[in-house]
Amino acid sequence: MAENNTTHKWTMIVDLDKCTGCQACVVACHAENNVPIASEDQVIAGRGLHWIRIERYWEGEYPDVKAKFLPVFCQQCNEAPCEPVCPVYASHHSEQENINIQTYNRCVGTRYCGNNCPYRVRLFNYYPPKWDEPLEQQFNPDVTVRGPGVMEKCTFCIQRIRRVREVANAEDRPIEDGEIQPACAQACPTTALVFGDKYDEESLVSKMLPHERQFKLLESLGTEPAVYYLKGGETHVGE
Amino acid sequence: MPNVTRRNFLKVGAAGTAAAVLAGCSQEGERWVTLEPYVTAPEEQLAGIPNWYASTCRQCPAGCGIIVKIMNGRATKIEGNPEHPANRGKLCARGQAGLQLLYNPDRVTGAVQQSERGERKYKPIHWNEAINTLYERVKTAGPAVAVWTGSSTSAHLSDLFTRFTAAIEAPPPIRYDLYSGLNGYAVLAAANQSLFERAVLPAYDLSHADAIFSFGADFLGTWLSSTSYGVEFGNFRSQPYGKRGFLAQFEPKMSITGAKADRWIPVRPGAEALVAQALVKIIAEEGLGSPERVERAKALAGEVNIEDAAAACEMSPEELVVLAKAFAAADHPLAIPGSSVTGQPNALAATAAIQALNVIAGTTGQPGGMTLTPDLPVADLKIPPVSTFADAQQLIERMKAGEIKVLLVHGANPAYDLPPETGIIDALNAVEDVFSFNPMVDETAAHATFILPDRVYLEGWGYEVVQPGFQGLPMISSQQPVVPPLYDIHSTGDVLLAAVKGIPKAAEALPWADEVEFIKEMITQLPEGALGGEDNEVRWARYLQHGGWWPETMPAEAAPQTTAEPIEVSATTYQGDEEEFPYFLHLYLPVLLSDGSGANAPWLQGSPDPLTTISWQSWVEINPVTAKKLDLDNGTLVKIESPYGEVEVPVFIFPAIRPDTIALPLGQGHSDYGRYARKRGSHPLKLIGVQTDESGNNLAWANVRVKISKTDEKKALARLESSIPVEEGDHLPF
Amino acid sequence: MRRLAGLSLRQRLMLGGAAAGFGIVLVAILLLVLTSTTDAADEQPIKFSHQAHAKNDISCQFCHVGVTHGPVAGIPSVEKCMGCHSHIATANEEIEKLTQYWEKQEPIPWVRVNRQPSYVYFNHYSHVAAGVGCGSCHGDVKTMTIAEPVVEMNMGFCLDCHAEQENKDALYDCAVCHR
Repeated sequence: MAENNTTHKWTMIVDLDKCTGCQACVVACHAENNVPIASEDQVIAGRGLHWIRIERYWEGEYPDVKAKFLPVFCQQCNEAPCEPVCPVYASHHSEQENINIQTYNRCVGTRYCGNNCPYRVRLFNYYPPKWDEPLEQQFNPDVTVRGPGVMEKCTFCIQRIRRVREVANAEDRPIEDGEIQPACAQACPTTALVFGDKYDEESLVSKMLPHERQFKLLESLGTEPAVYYLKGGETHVGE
Repeated sequence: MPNVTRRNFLKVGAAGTAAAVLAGCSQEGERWVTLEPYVTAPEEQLAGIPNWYASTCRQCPAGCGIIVKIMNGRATKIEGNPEHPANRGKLCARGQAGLQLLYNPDRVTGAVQQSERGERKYKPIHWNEAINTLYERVKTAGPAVAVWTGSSTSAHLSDLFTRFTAAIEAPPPIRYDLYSGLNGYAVLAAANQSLFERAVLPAYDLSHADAIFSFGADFLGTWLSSTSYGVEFGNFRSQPYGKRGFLAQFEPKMSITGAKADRWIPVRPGAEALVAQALVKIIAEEGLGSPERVERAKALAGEVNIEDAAAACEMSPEELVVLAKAFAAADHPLAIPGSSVTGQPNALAATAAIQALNVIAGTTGQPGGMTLTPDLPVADLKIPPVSTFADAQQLIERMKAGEIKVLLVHGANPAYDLPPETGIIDALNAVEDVFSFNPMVDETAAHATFILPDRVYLEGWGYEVVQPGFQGLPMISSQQPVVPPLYDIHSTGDVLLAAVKGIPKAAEALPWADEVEFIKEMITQLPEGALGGEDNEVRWARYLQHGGWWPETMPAEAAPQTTAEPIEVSATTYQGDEEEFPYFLHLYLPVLLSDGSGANAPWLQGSPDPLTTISWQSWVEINPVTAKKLDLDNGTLVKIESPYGEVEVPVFIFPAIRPDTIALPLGQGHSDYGRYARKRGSHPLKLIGVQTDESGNNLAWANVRVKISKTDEKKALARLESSIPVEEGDHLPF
Repeated sequence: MRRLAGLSLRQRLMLGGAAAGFGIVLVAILLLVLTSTTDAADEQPIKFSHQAHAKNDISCQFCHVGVTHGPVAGIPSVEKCMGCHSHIATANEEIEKLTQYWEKQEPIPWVRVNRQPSYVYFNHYSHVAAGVGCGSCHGDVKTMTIAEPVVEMNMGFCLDCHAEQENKDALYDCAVCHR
C-alpha cells in the first residue's frame, strides 16, 4: 500500500480558448465548498467572496472590441508567498498533494497570507457567514463551514481528493486519472478546465503539457503555480 | 511553562481560557449531541457515503439530465448526468442552483387561500379542503376553465392538463413564458414548419462544424439549451479537423457567445436577416463554394441591397464578401437564428432567411449540420407544443371579459413574463378563481385566490421530452424524487387526478390513481432503447436509474428535407418615433438570472454577470461614446422611456455595444418571488408593448426605440471588478 | 513550506500554538471543543450493553456497517435491533423500551459517545483497511456495559499513533484531517 499514491502533483489546465465566462464553475464551487454569498453591500465594499472568479478584460475599441475571460483561483504555488508569512502555520504546503492547504481551525485571521498573495485569491470572512434556513440543508458535510475572522481559498476540492485517495489506499490501488474532478472542472460545459496528476505520465494533463499555448499567471514572480493557462486564439478569414 | 509537553500545553491553553469561552458559547450544546438512527434504514444508504440519483433539470426548458448527490438524506450537489446525450455530464450555473429552489426559505409550505387579491396575506387550508375546492370550482365553471403552463412544466403534467381541458371542452393549455417567448420557440417552430414542414426546434451540431454564423443566438448563455451548446462549443474549439474553426457573431450588444467569437459584428437591431440574405446573394452572384451550394444559393436568393447590409454591420461590402466566402468555402458551415431575430416584426421570414443558409450549406442532418428534433416512437409522448403570444393574449382578453371562471397556473409566471401593457394583472383579477401551483409566491400567485404549491422538481415525478434533441436523437429525460418533500405538499399531478374524480367526463379521461401510474404507463410504451431492457419492468428501472430513454442511432426524420424557394423578407420597422426615441432597445436574458426564474437563488444573484461583473442589480449597458455625449458615468441613474413605459436603472459603460443601442438585462424587478428577488432592480418588459409580428402570432419586442434621460442620482454598482473607483488623487485601499 | 521541514513536528505545533497564545483565544476555543468528551453512561435512553453483544461473538461490523465502506461507522437502525430482539430477550426491561420505539416507529435518541468537532475529518474505512483494530481508539468495548470514551480523541492522540507509522504523511499534512 505504501507504494501507491504517495505523492501527487495536482495540476489544472485552463484553456482560455474554451472558457465562455458562463459562471457554472463559480456556482459549482459555492455549492461544493459551502462558500457564502456576499450581499450587495458587501460586493460594493469590495468584499465579494468567490473561490473562483472570472475576470473579464476588454481589448481594443468599438467596433473591434474583444472581451477576454480569465478564470482565477488559488494557483497552488510550489513556492507560495502565502505560506512563510502565516504566524500560525495555517497556510502550509501539503507534501503529498503538492498543493497549498489552508487549515481553518488554525487560522487566526491576521490576513498576512492574503496580503502576500499576488493573485488575490485568498478571501477573508469579515462577518459571520449567513444562510437563511433551510438553505444550510444543502451544505456539503465534507467541508468545514468557516466562521468569521478566517481566511479561506480554493483547495482544488481537497475533500474530493481525500475521498478518492482514502478509498484507493484502502483498496490498495493507484488513483486513476479522471477519478478526481474538482467541482469547477466537473461542471465546466466546454471542458475549459482539465484537472489531473502531473506526476502520472499517463494522465491527460501530462499528455497536454507542455503546450504551445501555455503560460502561467505572473510567472516572473517565481511562485511556480500548479495552474497552466492556454492562450485563447483567433481565427481570421480572408487574409 | 516548564516541561510543557504538547498535550499539556493544549490543556493549559484550554483551561486558561475556559471562563471566557463558556460565557461566549454554550458548551452543553456543543457536547451533548443525540444521534438518531433510522427506524428502517433505506438499504442503499450508508451514513457518510453519498448516493447519486438521476433526474431532470427544470431550471429552463432544455431538459438536461442531472445527477443529485444525497448525503444523509439531504441534497447537497447537482451535477450533469454523464450518460445523458444532451448535456453529457455538464451543468450550467442555473441548473446547479436548483438546490436553492428546493431549500429556499420562502417556499410556500402548504395549501393556502387568499381572500383579498394582491394583499399577500394567506390563510393555510387543509389539502383535502384545497382539493375539494378545486373540484367544486372547476365543476361549477364547466368549460370556462383555462390552464396556463410554462415551458419548464413537466411534459407529463402538460399531457394531463391537455387531456383534462379536452375532457371538459375547454381550450387546450397555454404553454407560454418569458424564456420560450423571448427565445422565440414559437417562431423557430413556425419557420421550420414553413421550410421543412416540421414544427419543432432545431439543434446545431457545433461539435463537427468549422464555420458558425450566429445571428444573435447567445447559445453559450441563455439560448435554448446552453449547457449542451457549451459542450458542443468545447468540442468545436477542440479543433476536430485539425484547424481552428471560425465563429462569427452578429449582434448589437456583445453576449458571452459574442465574446468567444472570432469576429463580433455589431449589426443594427433588426438587420440580421438582411445580412443573411446578402450572404446568400453574394454566394449566388460570386459563385462562392461548391457548384451545388451556388445552385442552391441562386434558387434561394431574394432581393437585397448588399451595401445596405454591409452598412448595417458597420463594414465594407468587400468585408461582407470575405465573410460570405468563409461560409461558402467551409466544409461544415452553420447559421443560427437567435432570439432578437425572432422578436422582429418580420420574425418568421427573417428566421427562415437565416435557416436558408443551412439549406445552401447542404449539411442538414449530417455531422456539423442542423438537425430537427425527432419525434418519439410513441404517439402519447409528444413534444408539448409551445403557444404563441397571440394565444396568450387571446386568453388574457377572455379573462378580462369574464369568460374564464377558473384559471390554473403552473410553471409560468404570467404577471411577470408578459409586458404589463397586456393588462395581465387586471385579467388575473377578473378571473373568479386563480389557482397557482407554483412553489413560491411569485407575481402571479400574489393575485391568486389559492396557492396549491407543487413539489419542486427535486421532490417530484415527471419527464421531459427533450428539445432541441442533440446528436439528432429523440430523448425522454426522467424526473424522479431525489429527496422526500420538505413540507406537506402534494404534487400537482396527484391533486389534479384527485380533483377531477367527481367530474365524470374528466374522470373518464384521467383514470389513473396517481401521476406515477400515468408516467409509468406512458414510459413503458417505449421500445427498447440504448439502455436496453428486455421487459417493461427492467426498462422502467433503467429509465429511472440512467436518467431517461434514447435510441442508439439518429432516426432519418432528424435530417430535414426541403425545396429551395426564395424567401422575401420585408424591411423591419420600429416602434417609437426616431426623433423622440433615438436609441434601439436591446433586451436580453442574462446568463445567471435568465428569464427571472433564477432571481430567487442567492448563488445566481450573488455571482457576477460575466461581461459586466455586476451582481444583485439591474443595469443598462451604454457605449462609451454615447455615455460621454449624454454625460453619463458608471452608476449614474438614468430614466429609460419607450412609447409604452419607463424604468430607472444605473448605467454601466460597456464598450461592446453599438452607440445607437442600449441593452437591458431581464431577470430582476420582481415585486414578489421571495426575499432574494423582491424589490431588486427593474423589469424592462415595462418598455415593451403588445404589437405583434406580421403573422399576428408573435410578440415584436426587439424593435422598440427608447430615449434616455439623466437623473441627479447615482447608485453604487455591485461589481466584482474594481468596485472601488481608481481615479486621479485616489489611492488604492491595499 | 519546505524550509520548515527541519523542525520537528513538536516544534511546529508548539510554534503554532505559541503564536496563537498571544491574546487570540480562537485556537483555544477550538482546542477546548476538540478535547471535549461526554459522560454518556447515565444519559442513554436504553442501557445498551456492548459487553452482552460482544460476548456472543457478534462482530462490531455487524451493527456498525459503515466502517468498511466509508468515513462514518454508523449506528444500526431500530429495525436492525428488532431483527434479533423481536425474538431474543424480549422480556428484558431495556428490550421493552426498544420495542416501544419500534412500535411507535420512532428513532432512539442515542447520546453520542465519541465526537469530533466539525472541522475534523476521520475515515473509519482507511483505518480498518490498514488493520487498525476498533479497540485502538474505542478501548475494549467488549468489557463495557455502556460505551464510554476511554481515550481523549484529541489531535495529540492521533499524532502519537501516526508518529509511529512508517508513512508520516498524516503527521505533516493538515488536509488529511482538516478541510
